[in-house]
This record gives sequence, structure tokens and C-alpha cells, in this order.
Amino acid sequence: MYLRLVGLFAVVTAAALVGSAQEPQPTARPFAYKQRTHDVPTPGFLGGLRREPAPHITFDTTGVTLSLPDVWDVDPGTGAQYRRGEVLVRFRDDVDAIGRARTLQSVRGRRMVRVLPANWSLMELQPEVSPLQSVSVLQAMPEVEEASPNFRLRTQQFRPNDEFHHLQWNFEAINLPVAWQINPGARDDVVVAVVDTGLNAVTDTFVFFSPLVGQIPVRFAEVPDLVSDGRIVSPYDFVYDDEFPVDLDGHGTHVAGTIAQQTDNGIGLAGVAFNVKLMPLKVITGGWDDVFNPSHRGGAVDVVSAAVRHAADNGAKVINLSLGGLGAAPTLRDAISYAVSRGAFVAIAAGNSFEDGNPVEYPAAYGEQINGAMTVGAVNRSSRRASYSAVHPYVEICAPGGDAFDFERGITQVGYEEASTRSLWTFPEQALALTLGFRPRFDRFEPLPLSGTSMATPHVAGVAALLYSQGIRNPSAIEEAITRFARPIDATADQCGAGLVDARRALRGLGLAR
Amino acid sequence: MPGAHCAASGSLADPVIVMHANQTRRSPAIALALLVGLFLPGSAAGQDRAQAATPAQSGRNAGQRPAIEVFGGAGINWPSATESFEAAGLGPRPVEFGGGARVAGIWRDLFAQVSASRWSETGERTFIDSTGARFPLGIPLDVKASYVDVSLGWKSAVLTRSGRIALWPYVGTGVGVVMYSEASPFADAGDDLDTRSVSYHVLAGLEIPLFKWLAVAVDARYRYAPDILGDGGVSAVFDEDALGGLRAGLGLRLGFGGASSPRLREPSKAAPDPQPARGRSTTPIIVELPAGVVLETAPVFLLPDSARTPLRMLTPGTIVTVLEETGAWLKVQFYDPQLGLRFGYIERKFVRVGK
Repeated sequence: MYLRLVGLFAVVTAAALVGSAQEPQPTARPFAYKQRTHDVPTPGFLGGLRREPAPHITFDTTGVTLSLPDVWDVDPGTGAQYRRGEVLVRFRDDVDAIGRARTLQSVRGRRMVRVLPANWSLMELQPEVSPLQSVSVLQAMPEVEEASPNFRLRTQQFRPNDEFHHLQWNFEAINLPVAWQINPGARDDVVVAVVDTGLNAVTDTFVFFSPLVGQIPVRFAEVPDLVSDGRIVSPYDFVYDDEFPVDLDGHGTHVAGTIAQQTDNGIGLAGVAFNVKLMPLKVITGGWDDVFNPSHRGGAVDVVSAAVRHAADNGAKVINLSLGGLGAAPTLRDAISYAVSRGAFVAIAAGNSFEDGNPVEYPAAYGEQINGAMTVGAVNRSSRRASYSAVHPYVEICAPGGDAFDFERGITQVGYEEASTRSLWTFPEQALALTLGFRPRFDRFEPLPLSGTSMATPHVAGVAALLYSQGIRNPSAIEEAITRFARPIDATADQCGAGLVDARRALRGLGLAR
Repeated sequence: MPGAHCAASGSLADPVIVMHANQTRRSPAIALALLVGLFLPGSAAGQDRAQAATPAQSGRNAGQRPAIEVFGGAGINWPSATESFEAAGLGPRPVEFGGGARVAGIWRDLFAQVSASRWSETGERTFIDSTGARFPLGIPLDVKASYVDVSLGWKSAVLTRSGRIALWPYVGTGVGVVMYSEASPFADAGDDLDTRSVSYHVLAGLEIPLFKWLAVAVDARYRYAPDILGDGGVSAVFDEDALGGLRAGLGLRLGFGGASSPRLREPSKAAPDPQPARGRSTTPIIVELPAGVVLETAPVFLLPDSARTPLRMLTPGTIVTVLEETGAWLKVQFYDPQLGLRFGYIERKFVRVGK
């Protein structure tokens, strides 16, 4: 037995030494658990989130790959799409067929495809001829009254072009695409605090201290498609007591992504209130935090309460609390009340323990008591209460939380590449891996489906940010608006409160009689 | 007088009939009236029916033809749902345009009218919380209300001492249909509203004649249109379910058909004034004596004797009250600008007489 332990220790130590030798050795403060090194090893990498080139029709010997024909070009000046090889021309009244033919010839047109009412004609050009240039030429001709490219029109419904937006059924469920027409992603003067496991706002290497293997440099990268210049406001790490609330878990990153993922930029995913500023406040730890800093105070009520007050004092107008526990937390209740009194709306996760006895959880239970704070339950893709979502009188509203960890039924948002972080491993597994030389890195991202009331809560926080941006600047009024315009679903009041949050209806407000 | 219906040969004819004759000469005025009626929408505003011309005649003349009037104008609303209008960012005083047609003198001074009017306002969708705080949301809210009202009323003439029609006050009441719609962008099915309901109203107004065929009217109407509001929107928050309210308007009324010459209405009032010119009351009076109109410049004598010195020369159009007919002479009461009401005799041939 002793021989085995000694052997294991020897192997672990040797592996750790080897692993340590492979990494850069920044100068770290003695016994500091975490230190920034300013060693920037890699940019943020969004695995699988690259923009793909436009599809084309391709034929090869193995068969035919048929995708939609690419017949649109883009006006670089305006970004407007227009039909390739076509222009619309309006001739003057006195121009006869010969004059039209001459005009066609002068811009190297192939034919008049169609004669339209009011002297308009649709002209087809030679493939190599640019419609934009042809329009310029045509407009200068005496025979022509007007000319324009054959621009493309779309429905006015805002549909983000983010690469993986099609996975986000949750946004359709809360009527968000139409809501974005009313208020496209809130304004950047709205600050949303995410009190969670943190968010990588810098690309850098931080050195953590491990009792097992000593100093360990860990790589972080700004979350692509989420963190950008000037977007992060008053970040703070209440676990390590510094201003770099790096996320060693991914939960906070996912939650923040649901609220504020940059949208309609052709990559990644979309977020509810994609223009807001974020205030990441790290109060909860992940498995790696436990490995690096077993004595941390992450998750303690006093820490969370301090973060909530910090958010309120630093201008946050919406606070997301995708967290909870079984012990009553009056200190946190008071902090939430304080935040509401400072004008911040607070969204609180109802809890995921319905199938584990449905215990009362905190601060969820306080949401009902505080006007301006809402407790959020979860529904699945069928808009029914998710099986895990707590059922209590204090559940005030529901939002999509998913009910599986897959793209079909989960809430897909940006997360860490699991192979790089092994965040799903247990503490012993992570500790052992560390001693064996594994070094987690938090600079590689991918679309990640998760489920829980933690995922539902940021939907409500995001809608609250939209409402705030739209003009409802009182937390209790935001709560009333969300409640009043919720969509009734097949659920009892204990399960989903007023129903499923409906962003469009809430933003649209009241008319005179409707 | 071409086309005159002035019957009553020998007997005292109805001046109203004479007015019919006038009508025939007024076709340009009628055309104008129609035009104004079409392009000057207005709520119930001015009107008078020829009939009532002479109060004495009102409803008394079995053969009298009702007058047709068209009117139009604009008015300002004081909606009863004040808080809702304010909360929705709608103008607190929507301006209403409309017009209508009236048949006056159906029986005595009774009139019936149909009017249509409309107002529209653009406000802003909003949210009202339980404390009553208003949060405008920046989304346009287009509200339109159209009314079709059917009214019955009573309108009488008020004459000046000189016998001219000074005012036509009227009152009425009726029912109508309100068509209400509101629409905003980003609506889903059923979000916008397009509905109609019954409304009830009372009205009162005053017409001031300008010409024989034209009058200016001011009027007020209180309309009650229940169950349009109150089911949703800010009106539900404020528990205001009626769309109506008070409306004050100004308009024009054009009359044709029936009798409508203010001048011919005057005679009746000349007679009844028993007071001397000086110091007399200005209170208008209503009389019911036979009247006549002097057709050409004619002398009036103290006795039925043309050899005497005339008391005065009456000019064409002067209204006299016929007291007695004696052969070729009429004993009349006329108004002497210097001495007030006087009696005298005038040759019958110079006067067209009504009842």
C-alpha cells in the first residue's frame, strides 16, 4: 500500500516537474494564488466559429454538391445586396425601341429581360460588367430617366447573420427577433452585471499557485464575439480580489454570452441585448479554482453580496444572478434590495432542484419579495416547464433554459472548448491531471449547449436591459412590464409565474385601448 | 318674380312661399353650398331651415316645404378619457373635422340631421406601472375615430328689434356609430384594434346668419361612446372605457330648399315691437302677424287718400305688418327710423302680402 502511494507520488511529482518545465516561468508573488504575467500567448480562438465562404454550386466526380446559387453581389459603399448582372432602367417617354437598344449596347447589356410598368426595364448585363458602374453610365445618358441596381429587399424582421444563430431556438421562443426591430440590442449606456464565475476580459497568462505543483501559468483569452474594446465596465474578481475576473469554469461566459453576445456580425452566436456593456463580477468558482485555491471564499454569501453592491454602486442597471443555494441569505437579500433601490433590476435563477426534492433556494426565494427583482424558472423548447426547474410560489417568470446538453434542446452560447479546460472533470480528476502535467487553457471557445435556470435567467436580464434602453428605467416597472406582457403557457403559477417572457410584447407596451 | 310660388292671390300669402321664388335665383349659391358641404367637413354646426324664418310660420304652414341644409366645420375635443389620452401621448385636444346634412322644419322647428366627423392623432406607446408612472416607449401609436351621428333637434329663430334674424339657437340629441382604430408598428395578429360601437350625444349650437343662404355656426356636442376603451392599453390602467367627450366647433351652414330668406322673415318682427324707438328694450321678440313687403318705392299715408301728404316713402323691400285690407288700400304698421313704429295706409299694389 505504502509502496503504491509512494510510487504514485513519485509519478505525479515527476510529471508535474516535467509539465512545469514546459511552461514559461513568470515571476510570481510568493504564495499568490493568481498573478497576471502579461505574457500573451494566443489570441482568442473560436473553434468552429469561422466565417465560411459563400456556398457555390460544386460538381466533382464523387457527385454533385448543390447549394444555393450565389447570385447576389454587395455594394461596398452601403452593404446592400443587388442582383448580379442586372440593372433597372427607366427610359424617358420619347425613347423608342431603337434608342433602348442603343442604350443596351452602350453598357454592354445582353438583353432586356423584362419590360416593367412606368417605362422601367430590367436589363441583363454581360457577366463581366459591373452593375454599379453600368448604373453610373446609364444615369448620364440622355435616354435614361433613372437607373439603379436591382437591389435585394428582405422582410423587416431582424434575423442576425451569426453563424450559429440558427441553434438559438430560445430567442425565437421569447419573440426576440421582432423585439430587436423595436430595440436592436439595447444601448451601450446600459451596464449589465454578471455576478457569476467570471468572464475573460483580457488575453493574457495568469499564474496560479497550486499546493500540488506550485506555480502554474494558465492562458486566458478575451471571449471572442463577446468582449471588445470598451465593453467591459468595472470588472472585479471577488474570489482573488483583483480586477481580472477570469473564468475558470465557463458558466459565467455562457451566461454573459446569452445577455450580450455580439450579434449580426457573421460569426458566433447572438445575444439578447447585444449592445450593452458588461460588468463581469467573479464570485463563484469552478473546479479549477478549487484546485488552485482550495481555501477561496467563492460562493460565500458575503462575497456575492459584496458583488451585488459593487454592481449597484458602479452603475449596473441590470444584475444577473444565475446562482443559488439552500441556505437563507438575508445579507444577500439586503444587497439585492440595495441594488434595486439604486435603480438596478435583478434577475435570479429559480434553481434546478425540482427533481431533488424541490427545496427552497436562495436568493431565489427573495425575488418575489422585492419589486424590481424577479425569480426566473426555465422552460424547454416546447415552452413547458423544464423538468428540473424549481416549482415554488416565488417563481415569477419563465424563460428558455433547455432540458438537455445538446444543440437541439440546450441553450447554445459561447463556451470553452472542453478538451482544453476539462471543466467537467471532478476535482480529484482535475487535481490528478494537473499533477500529470495537464494544463488547462481558457483561450479556446466553441458553441456550447447548456441547460438550467442559470441559462434562463440571462434571457430575462437581457430583456430587462432592452426595456431599460427603451425607456422603462425603474426596476419595479421593468418587473411589472415583464410580468404583464408575459405569454401564458401551459404551466401553473408556481411553475412559471406569469408565463414565458415575451420581449416583443414587453417592448411594445400599451396603446390606448390595446 | 320669376318662379315665385306666391300664391295667395287676394288673400294674405305666406312669405315663405315667396322665398321659394328666391331659391330659384340662387342656384350658384346652392352649388357653392354643395361644394362647401363636400369639402368643408364639419360636425353639426350651422343650420337653419327656411321654415323657421318667421317664427310665426314655424310649423304652422301645412303646405310649407322642409329646408335642406348642409354644414361643415371643425371642432376641438375634450376627450372624457383624459388620462388615457395624456398617457398615450395623444394630443389632449384632438381636432375633429366633419360635415353633414339636415332637414329642417319637418314639423314646426324640428330638424333631423345626419353628420359624419373624424379625428386622428399620433401618440406613443407607453407603459404605465402600478404607481401610475408613465414610460414612453418611442413607438408610434396611430389612433383614429370616425363618427356617424343621427340627431333630432329643435331650432328657433331669435330676431332683432329691427326684425332681422339675429341668431338660430338649436338643441338636439341622437345616436350614432363610432368607428375606432389604433395601430402601431411591430404588431402581431390581434394587437391592433379596429372596432365600432354605438354612441349617444346631445348637442347645442348657435347660428349667426351672414347671408340668406349662409350662416356661421358654433356648436357644442357631448358624446358618450362606451365600451370602446377600457379593455386594454392605458385606458384599462386608468379605468376609462368611454371614447366620447365634449366637442366645441365652428362651421358654416348653407341652406337651400324650403324657405330661407332672412329678409323675408323680418316682417313679422317689425310689427310686434310696441315700444318707441328710444329706450326700447333690445330683447328680441317673436310675432305672428301678417306681413308684407314693399315692392317698389311707395308712399304711405295717414288715411287711404293718395292726395294727402305722405307720412313717408317706403323703399322696396321694406317689411310692413298688414293690419287690415280695405279695397285697394292696406293699413299697415311700419317702422319709421325717426319716429319708431307708425301706422299708415299704402296702396295694395305696392305690397306683396304674406300671412
